[in-house]
Amino acid sequence: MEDGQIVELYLDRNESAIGHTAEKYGRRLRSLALGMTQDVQTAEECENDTYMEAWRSIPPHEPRGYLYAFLARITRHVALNRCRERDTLKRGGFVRELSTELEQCIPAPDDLECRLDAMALGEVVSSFLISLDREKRDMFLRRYWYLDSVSDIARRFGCSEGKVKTTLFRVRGRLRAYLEQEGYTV
Amino acid sequence: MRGNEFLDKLELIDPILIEAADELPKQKKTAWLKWSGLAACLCVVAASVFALTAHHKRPLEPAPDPNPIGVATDGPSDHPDRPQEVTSEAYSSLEELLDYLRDHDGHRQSDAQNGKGGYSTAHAAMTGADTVSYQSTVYQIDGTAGVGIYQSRELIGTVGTPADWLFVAGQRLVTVWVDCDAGELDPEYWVKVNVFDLSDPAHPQKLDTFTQLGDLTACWMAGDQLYLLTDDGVCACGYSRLSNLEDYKPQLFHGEEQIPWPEEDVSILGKPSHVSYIAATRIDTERLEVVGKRAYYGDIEDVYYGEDWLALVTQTATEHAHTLQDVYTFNGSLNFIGKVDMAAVFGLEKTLTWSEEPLRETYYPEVKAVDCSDGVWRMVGQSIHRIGPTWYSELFAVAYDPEGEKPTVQTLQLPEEQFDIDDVVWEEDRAIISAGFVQLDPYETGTRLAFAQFDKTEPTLLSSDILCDRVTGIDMMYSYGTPLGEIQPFISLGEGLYLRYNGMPDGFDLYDLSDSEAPKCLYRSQGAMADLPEGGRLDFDNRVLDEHTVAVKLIAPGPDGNYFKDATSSWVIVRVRLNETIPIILEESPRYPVEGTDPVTLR
Repeated sequence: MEDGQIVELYLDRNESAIGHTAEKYGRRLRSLALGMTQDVQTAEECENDTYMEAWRSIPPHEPRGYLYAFLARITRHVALNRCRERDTLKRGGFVRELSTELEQCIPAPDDLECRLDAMALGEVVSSFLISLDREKRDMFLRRYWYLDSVSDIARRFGCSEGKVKTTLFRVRGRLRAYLEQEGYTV
Repeated sequence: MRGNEFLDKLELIDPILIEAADELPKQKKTAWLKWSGLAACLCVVAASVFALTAHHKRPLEPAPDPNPIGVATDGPSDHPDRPQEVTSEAYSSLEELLDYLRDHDGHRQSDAQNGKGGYSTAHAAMTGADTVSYQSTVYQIDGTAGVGIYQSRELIGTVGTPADWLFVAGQRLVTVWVDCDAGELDPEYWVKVNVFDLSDPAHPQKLDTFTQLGDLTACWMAGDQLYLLTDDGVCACGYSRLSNLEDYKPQLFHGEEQIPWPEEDVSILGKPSHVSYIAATRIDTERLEVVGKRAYYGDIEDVYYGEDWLALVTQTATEHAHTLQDVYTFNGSLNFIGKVDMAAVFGLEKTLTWSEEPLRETYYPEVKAVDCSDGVWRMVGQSIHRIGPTWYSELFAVAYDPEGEKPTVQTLQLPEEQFDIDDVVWEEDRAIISAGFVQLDPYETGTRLAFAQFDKTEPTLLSSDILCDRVTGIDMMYSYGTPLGEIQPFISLGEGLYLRYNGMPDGFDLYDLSDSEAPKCLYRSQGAMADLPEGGRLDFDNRVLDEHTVAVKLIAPGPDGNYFKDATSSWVIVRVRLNETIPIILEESPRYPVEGTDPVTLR
């Protein structure tokens, strides 16, 4: 079934929308959550929470042209929260590690006041990412959006872990410079 | 805004970019890989037939544990039905293991468990480089185009084979190249070794090719022999499974001919939780033949090696629990020597469940470096002692003689409660340990030097008063946080004299570490170079030319101060003059371009 048809089912409050969503995207969403949480049961819970949140969010949202990305965003949000809640030695530490890395992108990390709203931040970071070449952009997104490990990224792109780390470090530095240059304080 | 909030808000990135990043990268498939793919398919069929026939010849009852902690099992096997090198406590054959994992995969939990988390303690001279020389000819990797051939700093030709690592052994040039077919769910890697004759150094002639399935774990030369380690495997949990586990058996080709990999050349380390192995092959580059091979199946986390030894550290982490490490040791012929069970060494429980770990006092030792000298295996590492919400670190050293009694261990607390081992330098009878720390109140970072002295099987740990800068990368370029195995901050000048990178862009410290009980800092430079280009930074790529002279790569940013665009690099010479007031001099002029220049020729 096409994404637009599935979204129409949500808008009609037809519960078969969830079944069609699961049939089309369930495996990818579960895999995404598993990559983040590293726990099969938690991944399944994240998948189910995603359907429930999608049911609550459509309407008002109408993600006809980007249903997977819309669902994946929910899955990521749920999975991140699960990681933080569980905070076991490995995954909680992993999320903290990613947060620490991202602090290098923030021009004024100690400024507790958020002066740039979330939507604007999304647009600014998207503009920056579009300016990068495909490989760098995808490495950044695999690391900080999909929360892949460095070794998994290296395998995905067929390069060394050192290259991935160096690329990520440079992209973080460029993002920080970009935010400063554009006059944003986050 | 803090990093965790920033991480959350990245969810609002344009969905088109998110979708695009979920596509698998497309890589061009080379002609040889197409051929090898076809060959691989045929070989899987052949291997399946072989496996089916071989399976019935092997006993299915689990074998008894051949190697309880610290007991050597070198020498001829007493069990004719089971190769002595099959080290598993639980499985008598590879088929039995794969049959079990087909339905009981434990799910991969640790980033390091794909065999890629390893690093090496090998001597630098054994490892490959991106630039090597033979007589007055220099060979240098030139991107994916091949290997450039230089004479008198002029490019005179190209070896039309891409390479990741280069070796020169005798009159041979050896290239190692990793290729990847990423167009599938589970990318397939192949490592290709080419051997060239250098009778005419300007025109290397290709003699032979060896190709092995898997991603490159490590490669090194010992005399004329190349050791090639590759890893392959899969988490067969249902999300990434390839249905045919026969694909996860080693494959090795000599030219176009596949070399059989029988069960006798397989070791199973402990009780693997997923299908993953490291395949080790010894290639005689003079005789152009494979002289040894062995595949190690297990939850291998780290790999250490030396000229005539190999150590594999295993640790299992499933969705419910994790184990403490085992260190399996092998000789230069890749045969099993013995095993050190860290739980038994420290008298701890082998397995800890994730759920109970935060609730009780735990002691978690982790090996960080392994070496072998005169048949004695030496290890150093750090333990985390967790008591409720607080924890502190402890150094430990272990010595293990396979022909002796149980391994011996010593522990030591440093003045800093929490630290990470950032670097370990092995010498004949000791290890020099860099323990990096970050203290929050008052904020302070640094590295404390410590020593593990080994009197045969008796380790002694010594702390020192020396605090160095903590060096984790190059400012504005890259940082590894805890850089163990990623960068080597020490440069040995011999006789216990060491240069060490410090926090300055062009700074070195000079240490006399010849006496572990009384190490000395001789000099700390605050930037040693008179004509450092603006923004210039020393790289960790260096070559010791003699006991007083080192060539170090220098990186200068582009015209707009950008390290990512138009940056240039050159070699600078570091001279050490012990009796001078300023004992470290960096000479940047004349600048030698990196391309086409082997620093060894700069003397």
